[in-house]
Amino acid sequence: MAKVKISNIIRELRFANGQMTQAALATKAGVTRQTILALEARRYSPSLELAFKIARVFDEPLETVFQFLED
Amino acid sequence: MHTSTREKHILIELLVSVLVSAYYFYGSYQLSGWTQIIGSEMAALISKVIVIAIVASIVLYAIFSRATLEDRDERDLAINGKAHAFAYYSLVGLCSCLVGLVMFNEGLGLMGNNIQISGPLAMHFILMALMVSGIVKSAVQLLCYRLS
Repeated sequence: MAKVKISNIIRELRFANGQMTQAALATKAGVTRQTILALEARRYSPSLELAFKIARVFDEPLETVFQFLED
Repeated sequence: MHTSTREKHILIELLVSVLVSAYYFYGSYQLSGWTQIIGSEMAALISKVIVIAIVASIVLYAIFSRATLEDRDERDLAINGKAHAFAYYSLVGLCSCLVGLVMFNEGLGLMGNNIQISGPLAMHFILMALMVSGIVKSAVQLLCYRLS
């Protein structure tokens, strides 16, 4: 299964924000729980819009939540 | 292995498509070897296919997927787009094969052979191409949901 080039710390941030569930984050970001699951497993690269929404949920800068992995 | 409601819906769609296609093509081939598309038996077969599709959908959804679907998000749309692209490629490929087959057949006709691709036979090939592309779409969706 190929990993995407965009890494993230969503899982860590969820636990740092009062053990937020994937479902709760999904509702706040306006996506399905499966999408959050895929993002955390690095199997899906979010759109810029979704990336901003997720960063805003945690009140963190975009580049803190998501990192682009060089080859 | 967890299966989401959307995956269950796609799986049911795929199962119904395969079931209905197999029943229709087997039944219509038994009737006339795909040389005719009119007649009361054909009308009865098509009616049966419609009833089977409706009943199978109701039963399978009732047993395996009662939960309502969530709204599609960007990942669902991306997967849907990819599945439609693959379905389109398969449809184009199969239609190209049909065109090639007709041309080959015409060539054989010029050489004195008497094999003919009749209208009903061509219609069944096109119908088969449509059903295969529908099955490809569902299969690609399932694969993408599993892998991404």
